[in-house]
Amino acid sequence: MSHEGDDRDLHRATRCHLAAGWSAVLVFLSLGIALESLHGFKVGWYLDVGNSTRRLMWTLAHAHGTLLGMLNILFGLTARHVAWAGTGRRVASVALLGATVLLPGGFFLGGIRIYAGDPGLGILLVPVGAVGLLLAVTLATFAVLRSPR
Amino acid sequence: MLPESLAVLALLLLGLAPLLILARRAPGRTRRSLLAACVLGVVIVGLGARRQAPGLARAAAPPDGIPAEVHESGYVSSGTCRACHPQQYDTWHASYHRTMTRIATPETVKGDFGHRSVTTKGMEFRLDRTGDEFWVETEEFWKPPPAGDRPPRVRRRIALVTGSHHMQVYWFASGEGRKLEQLPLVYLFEARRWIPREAAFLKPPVDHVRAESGRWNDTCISCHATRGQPRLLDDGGIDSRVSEFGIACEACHGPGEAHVRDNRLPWRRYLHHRRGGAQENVTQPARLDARLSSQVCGQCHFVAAMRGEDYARWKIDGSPYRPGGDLSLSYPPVQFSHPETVDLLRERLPDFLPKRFWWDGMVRVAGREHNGLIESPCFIKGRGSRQLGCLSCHTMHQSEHDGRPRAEWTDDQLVAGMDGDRACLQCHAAEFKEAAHTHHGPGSAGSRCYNCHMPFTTYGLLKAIRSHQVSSPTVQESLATGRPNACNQCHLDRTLAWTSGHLHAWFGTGEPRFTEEERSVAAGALWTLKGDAGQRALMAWSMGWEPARAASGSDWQAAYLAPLLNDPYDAVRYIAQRSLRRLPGFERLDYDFLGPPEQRQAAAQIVLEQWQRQMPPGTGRGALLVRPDGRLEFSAFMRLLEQRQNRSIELVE
Repeated sequence: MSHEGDDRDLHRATRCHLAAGWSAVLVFLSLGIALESLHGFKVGWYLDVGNSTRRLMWTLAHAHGTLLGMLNILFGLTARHVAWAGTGRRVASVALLGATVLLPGGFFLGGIRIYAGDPGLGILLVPVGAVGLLLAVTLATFAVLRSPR
Repeated sequence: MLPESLAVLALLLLGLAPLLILARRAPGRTRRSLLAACVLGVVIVGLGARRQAPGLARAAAPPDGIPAEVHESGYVSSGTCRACHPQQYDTWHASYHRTMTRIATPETVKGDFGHRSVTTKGMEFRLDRTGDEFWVETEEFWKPPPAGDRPPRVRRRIALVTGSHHMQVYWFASGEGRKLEQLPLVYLFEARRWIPREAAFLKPPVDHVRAESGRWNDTCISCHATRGQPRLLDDGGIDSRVSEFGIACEACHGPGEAHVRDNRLPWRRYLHHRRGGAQENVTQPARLDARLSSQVCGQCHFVAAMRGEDYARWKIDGSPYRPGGDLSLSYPPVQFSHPETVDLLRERLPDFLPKRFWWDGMVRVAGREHNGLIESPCFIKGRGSRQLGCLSCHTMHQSEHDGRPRAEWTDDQLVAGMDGDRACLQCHAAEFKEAAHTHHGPGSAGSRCYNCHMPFTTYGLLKAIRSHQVSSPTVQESLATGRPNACNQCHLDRTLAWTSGHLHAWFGTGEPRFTEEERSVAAGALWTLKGDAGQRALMAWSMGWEPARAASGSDWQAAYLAPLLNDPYDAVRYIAQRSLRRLPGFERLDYDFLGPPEQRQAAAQIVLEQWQRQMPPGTGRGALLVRPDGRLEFSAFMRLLEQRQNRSIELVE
């Protein structure tokens, strides 16, 4: 890819991660407010001890979603800052965007139907997302370490 | 604590690793900042961890010389069950089963240990709290005193507490192996006071402090702990062990180790979630038939016909019964319909049965409901889902759909709605609810299935409790055994002959012969004045029972409760004063049931005089010995009182 093409690609990627990041922060902060409302109204379906697995799953969905949103923003800024282009960046982008959907999504789906101490089958998305996140973070770390000072 | 610390350390290093890698490559100033951030992180996490576990740092260790909690023979404890069964754990955790026996801590001790002195039967007990520990200083009453001298005073730390619903009993280490001594004082929640242990139970009065050395190890351990092993050794030593104090998950579901191991693999769990059905290696009482599921409760709530060789095994290893098995193969329950179970005990322990059963074999004491259940026609004749079992009415885990407050459920652990006629109408046709069957007004206490077929004829916890042997009322049972029949427990002011006439007219039951007294004097009056201590306790309770007061009036009971204020039995006096305080005009009665006899007699006299003043002329009730002018037929009243059955009664709850 030409230098100009790299620039365009980098610009698109940065915009994509900033958009995904802020969107995720918006969605999962809203989820946080919804969860607080469930606390406020003492909704048993969320708060009863028998539903503690659901509560844990949705709390994890809220926390992971928000943090992944912020990570996307950081990723976009970092990529632009170190002019990170090429296959590694594209793989990291896809992995991070996937993790942003799969990790909190898996926790959320896992909390909809629970089996006492076990979450629903949606939880299977979580390890896939976790692998994607680890890959993206590893690639980003090395990209930063290799970047010229 | 060590594995948790290592886990926190590992997580911390994992989290700091990227920072340390970056710091290695960063320029001088950035490197210093990153290293400072690492140090700050370690300090914050360390302080946080310390703050999160203050209980671990400060909790007083349980004292030595008490039964050991050991997880063996496949028992893993309730803490392990919690992770996968949070709802079941939560409901069990709220129940009084869990708190049957616990280590004494500020959370578990309910008695007043606020640096106070309690004297009972001539012995002083100084109770105090030091930090999180509870102590008693008293004479060493459990050892033979030095010749001609009083035992030395010693200070002992309270180790275990038993009970948390009505009263609490306290235990301390004897210093001999794992043998426990019992504090001869009980803290009674309702009265918010310390009372002598004997006063909390229906027992003949005693005038000295009696030791109950090793009682927890050789009796309570069976049903106040999970998987209790008394280990009463042949050399006289005691090395008792339990899997867990209190009645925990594995008491009803069996040892859980294999079940936990099987379910460690997530795909196995999810396969089970999808397929449903019973799991191997664990007992779910709700999936057993009524006979076997009731035996799970019965292992504690029954009187066993234990043979000599059974006891020899039990005193070492505890009960061989495991939930899901056949309890009768371990220890057959006492059933008067199975004479062999009765004869065995009559030969070995002549006093055993009268302390627990009415003479016809109906259970007389609380906590032995299984013996009543298995003699009930609903159990004997019922089949399949229509066979009565404990779980027909009770549940050990409150349903998520049960809207009642948790405290209401824990009181008797009934399934929602089973406190009324619905319990019986699960099987019996609705027509039994009609007046043609009940002969009482719809909605009245007399139309309630329970009140006629499960009357309050068992005694325990300083009150009357419903019989769990389902039966129909007869006058014959009262004449033969002295047990109040359901009709006269409500219609206290009516004679046995009156009841017999109605039962004959309504249901065609036979009419026995009556003495002149039984024809003319109310059954409630006869049992109160002439009855034995057990009957007097039931009558004293019934006089405070709202349905009985509605059926028989509230204006006469004080006269009959007055002599019970000076009854020889502490428990009878306690119940009498409680009922009396429910009567109009006696709410503020100044009376101490543990006061000296002359004080109690004076209180009885005052109550009688006040009652007499409250009774207006024209309120005569012949069967209750109240003349038309409202005056008591005192000589007839006293004549009956002098005939009081003074046979020594002890009811073993």
